[in-house]
Amino acid sequence: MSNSNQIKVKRLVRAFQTAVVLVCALVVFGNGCAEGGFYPQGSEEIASTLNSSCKDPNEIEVIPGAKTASLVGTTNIVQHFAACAGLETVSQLTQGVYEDKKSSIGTYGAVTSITAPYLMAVHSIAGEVCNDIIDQEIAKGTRIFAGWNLAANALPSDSQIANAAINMSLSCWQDYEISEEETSIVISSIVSSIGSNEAGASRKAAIMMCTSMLASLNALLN
Amino acid sequence: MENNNSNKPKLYHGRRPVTRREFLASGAIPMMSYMIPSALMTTFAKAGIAQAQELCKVGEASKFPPIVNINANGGWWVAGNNIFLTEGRELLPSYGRNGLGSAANLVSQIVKTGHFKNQPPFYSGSGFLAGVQTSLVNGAASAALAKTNFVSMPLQSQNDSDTNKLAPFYLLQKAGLSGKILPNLGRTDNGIGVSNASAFGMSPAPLIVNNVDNIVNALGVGDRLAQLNQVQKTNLFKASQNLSFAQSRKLASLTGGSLLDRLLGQANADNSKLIENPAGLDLDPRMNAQFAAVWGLNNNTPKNAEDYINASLIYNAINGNCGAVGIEVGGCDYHGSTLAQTIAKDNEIGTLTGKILQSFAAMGSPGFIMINTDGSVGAPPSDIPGTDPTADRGDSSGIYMMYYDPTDSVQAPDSQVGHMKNDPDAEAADDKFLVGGNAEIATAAVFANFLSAAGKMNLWTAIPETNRTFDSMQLAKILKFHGKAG
Repeated sequence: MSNSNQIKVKRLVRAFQTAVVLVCALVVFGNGCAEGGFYPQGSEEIASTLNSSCKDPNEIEVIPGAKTASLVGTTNIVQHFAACAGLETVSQLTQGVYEDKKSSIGTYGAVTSITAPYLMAVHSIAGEVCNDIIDQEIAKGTRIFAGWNLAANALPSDSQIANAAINMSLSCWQDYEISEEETSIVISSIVSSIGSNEAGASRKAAIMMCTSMLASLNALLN
Repeated sequence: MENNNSNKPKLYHGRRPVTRREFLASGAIPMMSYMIPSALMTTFAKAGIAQAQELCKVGEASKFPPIVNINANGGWWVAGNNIFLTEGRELLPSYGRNGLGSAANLVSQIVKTGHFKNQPPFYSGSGFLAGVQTSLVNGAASAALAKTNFVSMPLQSQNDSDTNKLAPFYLLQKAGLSGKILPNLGRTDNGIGVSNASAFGMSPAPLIVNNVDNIVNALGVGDRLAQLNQVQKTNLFKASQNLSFAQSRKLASLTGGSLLDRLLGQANADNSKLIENPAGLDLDPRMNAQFAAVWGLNNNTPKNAEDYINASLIYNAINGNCGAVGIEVGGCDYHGSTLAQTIAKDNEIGTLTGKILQSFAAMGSPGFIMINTDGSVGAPPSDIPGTDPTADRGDSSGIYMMYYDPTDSVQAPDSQVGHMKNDPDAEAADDKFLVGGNAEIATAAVFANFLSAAGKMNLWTAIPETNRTFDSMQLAKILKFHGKAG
């Protein structure tokens, strides 16, 4: 065999060897276990899984220089509502509901603690605080519900509801006055579910307006 | 000066080939060395990522299996039911100080078959084993155990103390385990739900259930909001939902703003549905006849009956209504009582455990149980297995883990994490091993096994507290449940 043929054969053999090595490498590493390198027997799968780029679904994305969003926590939610709405005395009923529901509310108001049970508890406590506010305004004169007859079996007018919603937003919504769209949401929820001459219509309207606004995000921000 | 470095490639007239022709002319091997490896290596490198991301997607999309933490309060005979082995998975020469006598006498009283799937060694006189094998429904216990793997973990813990950091709820919450409509459920009103300290941090307090009505009352709005009718309550919730929807958009520029938007939207939507259709709630375990039979519930069962309460906790965990569940079994500081009383209490723990496993089976759900305790009990040294425990013995405390898998795919060939000390006279958990001497680290190991069994180990690195507890090599030593993706 001539020298040139020997060289060609050698090259072919080397090419074949290289191909075999590559196929072996593909079989060994190509199953997704290469990431992260070598681990003791039995831990390859763990290493592969651990090295994934999976993120915690509830991980907070930090925005440099931006304030961190947080909500009112269990330690001060009743005081928070009472203070903003000008409630002088929290009733035993409200305190009892708070005691029943506080386990559903995160202690410090972290964003990650927002769950359906949290919001259910917030609605329950807000509803009780609103009843206390209504009782106080019946006894001492109206402030948020200015111009309303809270004992009437008739719905207040749309403008009266809108004015009360503005008062509530100025008192309890953080740096924020209610928009026309939001006012419309509040009025519509009331007039579409309370009969104009339903028994206790005025009080029910006040409860709906007050509770929905206190349980909305703007009132819960810390 | 000319560079005569012989290592420098001179493949095509003294320079690197550039064109297709030059590559071809330089020969097959050099051409392949330039063309193929880089592309292939890129492919290799990405393969792992591609698979891991797929696992990640699966983990996030599917819900967690229910997890129940039973706290045997007072230090039960944890080392006298399952038999803790050495590092080589052999018997100690003697278990006399733990009440199980010499190995020579114990060996004939070890039961490995006829109970859990992975055949862990139990003392034949174990009250726990007898309890877990009982059922009110014929054949339910053996069917559930056949698909349940059992793993124990010898651990030194503080006797008779609620300061052991054994409560796993913080880690579970960090992993994203939460209920659809209820928080975690517990039995002990201490902000944790069981009489232990919380490992790594505090989780939101659970709803304490001492009566089945506690669960019903926690949902919906009662009291003075009850003066509103169904339509009015629904409109109220929808109004606050719609108000929050617009408001949360304005917080997108804050840290956590986008997460707040997502969580708030989901929670409001869930509550609106709940208020709109309260009859659609599936809270009462009696609504499922097969499940109710496991616990022996009927229409006359009092709402404060232990079985009804515990069944409600488990039922709502399986349905995903609540997050994790904590159950307390009191009266386990029983050293000094008779052996019969000791075994009866162990049987109570086993019976409760068995009902929970049978509940998983009845609902066709996977599920994880963690049984822990504060300390343990010891006996005067004796060669006779089944010696009456007379004192606390936290050196040989431990944790039991069980995972029921309806698909029967999870495996746990080694039924023990960690081991007993090499010193045969110590008869104690090896506190030098990763998990043997620190309750909090042991809880992290339980959490890791839960994730592994559930096929969600991809969440491990997302939680800083656990990610820095064990590296992948250490995880290989402590992970005993091997799920589909874990």
